[in-house]
Amino acid sequence: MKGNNKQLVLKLQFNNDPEAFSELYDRLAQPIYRFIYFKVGSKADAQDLTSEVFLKAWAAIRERKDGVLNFRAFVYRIARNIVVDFYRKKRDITSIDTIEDDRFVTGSNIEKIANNQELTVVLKAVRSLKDEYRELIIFRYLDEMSYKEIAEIVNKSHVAVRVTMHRAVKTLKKHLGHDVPKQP
Amino acid sequence: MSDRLEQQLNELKNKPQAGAVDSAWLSKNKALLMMQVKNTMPAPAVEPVKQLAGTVESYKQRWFAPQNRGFAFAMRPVMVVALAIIIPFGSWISTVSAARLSVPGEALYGVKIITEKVQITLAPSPSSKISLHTEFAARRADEVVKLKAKPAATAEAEEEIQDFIKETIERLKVEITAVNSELTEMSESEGAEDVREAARTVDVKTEEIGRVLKNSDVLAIDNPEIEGVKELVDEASVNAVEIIVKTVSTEEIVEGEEVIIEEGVEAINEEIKSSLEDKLKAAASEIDDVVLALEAASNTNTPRAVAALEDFALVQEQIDEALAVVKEAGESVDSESFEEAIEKVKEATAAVNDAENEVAKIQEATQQTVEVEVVLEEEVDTEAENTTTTEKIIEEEGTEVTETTEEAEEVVENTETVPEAE
Repeated sequence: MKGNNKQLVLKLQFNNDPEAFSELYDRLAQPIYRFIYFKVGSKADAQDLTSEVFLKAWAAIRERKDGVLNFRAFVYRIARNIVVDFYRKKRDITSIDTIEDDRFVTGSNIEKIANNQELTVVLKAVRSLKDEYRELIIFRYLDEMSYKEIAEIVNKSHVAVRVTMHRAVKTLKKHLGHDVPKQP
Repeated sequence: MSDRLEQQLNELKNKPQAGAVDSAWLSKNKALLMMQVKNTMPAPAVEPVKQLAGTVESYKQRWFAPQNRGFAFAMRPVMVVALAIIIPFGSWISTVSAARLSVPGEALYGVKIITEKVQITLAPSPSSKISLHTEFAARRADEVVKLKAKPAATAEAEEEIQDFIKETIERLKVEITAVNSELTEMSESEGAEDVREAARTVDVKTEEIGRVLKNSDVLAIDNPEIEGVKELVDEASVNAVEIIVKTVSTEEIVEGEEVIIEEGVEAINEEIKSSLEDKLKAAASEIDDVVLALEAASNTNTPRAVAALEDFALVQEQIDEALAVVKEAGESVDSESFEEAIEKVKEATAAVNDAENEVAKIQEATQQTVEVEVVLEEEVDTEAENTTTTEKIIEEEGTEVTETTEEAEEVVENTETVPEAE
């Protein structure tokens, strides 16, 4: 199905077209899953929460009379809230070091990763960042979002996002042992 | 940021450790989500309602305009008849929507069943018929759970609920059998894409029904019928996967050397793999349950349980066999020999079901033995109590006898002394 996210949301909201929702799911399920996986660290939890995000998005769209201007930002905001609720319920925040090594992943895929030492190091460094920084790195470099879009999701100003992103990258480089020039 | 680091971060998104999603899960979850979306989708009624409103308005103006007063007067009885039809029909619609939540034994349940039958009759295509049958089967499973949770104040009420459960299970069996036969029929006549879509719905929904039934009662001592229907549900689920596999191989044959499948053979294979893996996981979890139940039964120190050692050995054998088949099936799934894997999954499911039935029998026997023992203990206690009472009576009577003897002796002594005094 063709059309941008906004057109699809309108089709969904006013024409009750389920195919529009199916298309939105195809476009966003993968990045949303990845975003949640980075936050919760477990494949099973990430899968459950991703399903919940899309069900909530569907329910929210049906209830909203005004259109959703930016569906991607809208779904990411739902995902963030769901992760917060998840930890609130769990009250036992998974430490970054204890992120599970899924048995599913430990097959041939992990061998490929093990061969690529550099990527493993980068991944560990991203995981070791604090949540606020990790989130911005995922948005910007894995999901390739604009600063404007990120600002909309995290509910901060465009400038504040840029500043935090700068700090996040600096910290990431530090963790990777790259030389970081000292600020004057 | 350096270009190298930026590139590395970008590469990360395709790595499973960095949250690259499992495509089989993605499509399965999508099927489930879309089912829920379609079920909660409001009817697309905006335009028709507007049209209807416009039509009514134009007729109203034409018939009831001041120049047509006579016509309006003549129309009055017609309108009354029309209202007499519309009002019950309107209330019928609201009754039907209220009936959706009813369970057997409630006044509106009959309406629910009739509405479902009408829906099946009016279903426009085989795939919508299949979808309706699976939906109704899921409803029956929910009803079983609700009925089981229903409190019964008296033994009669309890018996009545049990009857309703049996009735609902029978209905569930009918729905599942219909799903199976409709899907098989459809696979012979319809296009591969449509068949796959219908089989997917059946696969997802039957797994859900299986879970609901399993949660309703692990080994179903009260309702052994649940075990029977669970076997049917498992069968339907495996049948659905088998049909998906067949659609792929048929298309491969039809298209000859070049395989043209819109969804991509790899994606479908991944989906089949994931579905079979789920089934094997479910079988393994059921084996765990059987092992636990067996341990619990063997820990009960009753003479009957000890006597049933042969039964224990039989279940143990069945468990071992099921485990071995699950392992073999896993290997076939890994090597993508799906037809072989499906046969193994069927075998494993049958072995697990046999073991479950045997354990259920053992549990029932153990429970009966425990009940008999409790009754026996009670009887022994009563006897002991009776013995104590008898002893007490004897003791008490003994005292009386002694006392009487002493009195008599006194009297005798007195009688003996009297003539002496004389």
